Amino acid sequence: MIKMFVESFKNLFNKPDTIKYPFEPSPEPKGRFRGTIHYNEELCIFCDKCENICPPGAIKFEIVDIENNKREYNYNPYLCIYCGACVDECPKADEGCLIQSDERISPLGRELPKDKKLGYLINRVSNPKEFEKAWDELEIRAKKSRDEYAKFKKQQRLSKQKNKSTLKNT
Amino acid sequence: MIINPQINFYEVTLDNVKEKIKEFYDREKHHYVTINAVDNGGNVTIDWIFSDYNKKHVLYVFRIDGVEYDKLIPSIIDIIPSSWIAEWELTDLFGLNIENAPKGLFLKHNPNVYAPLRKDS
Amino acid sequence: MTGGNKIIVPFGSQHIALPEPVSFLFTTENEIIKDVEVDVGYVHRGIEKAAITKFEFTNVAYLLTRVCGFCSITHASGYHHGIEKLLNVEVPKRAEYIRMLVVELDRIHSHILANGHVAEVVGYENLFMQSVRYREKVMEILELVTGNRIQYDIYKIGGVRKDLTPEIVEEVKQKLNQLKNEMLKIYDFYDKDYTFGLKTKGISYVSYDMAKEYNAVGPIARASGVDTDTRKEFPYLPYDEIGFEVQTMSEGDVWARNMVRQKEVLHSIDLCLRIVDNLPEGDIATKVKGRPKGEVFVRVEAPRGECFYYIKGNGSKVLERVRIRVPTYSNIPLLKELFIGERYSDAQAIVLSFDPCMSCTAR
Repeated sequence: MIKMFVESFKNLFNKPDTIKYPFEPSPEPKGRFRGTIHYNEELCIFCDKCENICPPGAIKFEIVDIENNKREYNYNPYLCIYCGACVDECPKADEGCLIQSDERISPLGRELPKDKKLGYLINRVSNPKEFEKAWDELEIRAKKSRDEYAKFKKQQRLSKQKNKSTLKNT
Repeated sequence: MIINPQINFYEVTLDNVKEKIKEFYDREKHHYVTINAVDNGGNVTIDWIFSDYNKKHVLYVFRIDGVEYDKLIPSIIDIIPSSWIAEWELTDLFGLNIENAPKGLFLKHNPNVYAPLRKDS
Repeated sequence: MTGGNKIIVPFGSQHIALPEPVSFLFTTENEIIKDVEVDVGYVHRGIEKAAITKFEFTNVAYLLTRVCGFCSITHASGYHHGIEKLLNVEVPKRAEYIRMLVVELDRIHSHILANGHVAEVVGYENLFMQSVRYREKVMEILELVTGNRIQYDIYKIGGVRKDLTPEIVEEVKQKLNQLKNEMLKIYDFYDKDYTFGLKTKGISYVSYDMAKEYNAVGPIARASGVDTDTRKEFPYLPYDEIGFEVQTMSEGDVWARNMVRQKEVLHSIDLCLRIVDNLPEGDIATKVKGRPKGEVFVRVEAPRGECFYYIKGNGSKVLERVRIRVPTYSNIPLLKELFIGERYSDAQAIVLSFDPCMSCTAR
């Protein structure tokens, strides 16, 4: 018991181990910090691997133009669990298509973060209170657009087969 | 390294499972692990799983296939006193009928939810 | 009030001294406990149902890791060792050594916090604050190696996700050597302090026969003299290459359970230093093909005892059955018998010396 008294007495003259947050800044992340996901549209090949592996479903691709196959990338930083599985799966991650940066996104407050690397939907919505409803509508729209694209491709394939068979007959 | 356990299966029926476990279980050598159930559509497969203190990579499994939902399943609480928690959980989540096991350990009373781990609910 | 001298006291799910949501109902007479009722299902979230409906076998690991915060690496290792057996994947040696390093570091930080909680509840808050201050070094090492302090997503089917560079190895060695001197000082405090011994020695004695009758697991069984450890009975990682031994004591009370955990902390620091010195060369992951089919039984060692996994697949991307049995689930029936005959003011020390993890139990 005397040893603990000696230890506590020595502690009176050491400097404290705590950081006086918010008067001092919090410590900087070192090395392998798991932050926000950034996306680069020019290098993407639209293989859909990141969307299939994401556990909570925070990445959604929407097909806006069915004939030309133009797709848009949407990302929800409030559903994401920052695990980095999408970066591991992306085949073009070394060239910088999908990277996990050091930044942290602040919680849902007075305004939404605006950045081109975060996708299309978060740059279009201006009121933070409507973001959740807009994301739910996007999920329904994305699924419907994939079904319509699949139907369109099937029709194209059937009409090509019919053309080939009529060419053979004549 | 790929784990390679040696599993000894014993096929039992509902009538003789209690006697077989009683003559097998030795308190110094064997270690009770848990009770497990798997749903196959209209019936359930139940496993009683034991292991060994002295041997490496050995498990003993007593298995019954094709148990209907409302049959009475005997309880082994007089052989192994710490098995009541697994039996109460299985009656809650699968809707089984184990003797002396009340409902309500994990699920509150809700008329919409009954036996959630079955395949068709 | 039930007539006579008996008073019913709830040691409820919300309590100042209780870090986990478990609820007890004590029937006491003159402050001695006569009867107990237990309720464990407060944080039931339906994880076993979600694992077979909404997730595929490639990303269900991210759900299972988040069953618990303390022992998150246990659930990850239980699932991955099972799936690798079903898919027949051979993991390279360097990946196994990195997996062992993170498992042992997780054990160190969980044991330091559990012992600190027992000291705090007994009234010795000074010792709690000292041990938590030294625990910060372990969290910094984990952040260097994996990127996160608690939920390390370092396991992957076929290996690990991140590698160890020589600078990280240097810093890990330096911090572990500092930590070892500080932990020897804290071991002295737990061992020889007079007031701590008055409050913890001789309370809730568990004999060798009682531990075997109720099939206790973990440090509770080892404190009564039972020589059981899953790392020896069901080796899933190469522990015999780095020299692992089981630590036991024979007194069986609250003090002995604390000392078993302290001995395991010192032994784990030695194991970590040996792992970091002998890392083999090679790559860190292999490619995986195919879908799981069949059933597998796995047992791994959590900081609190033995954890059991059963996985069944039927050839499609969605699994058919995942069954998790955690160590606290096996120890709750023993805890219920230990209260009878003890004083009510010792109830907190008994519950916390068992180190309960309720989010694992009522997943």
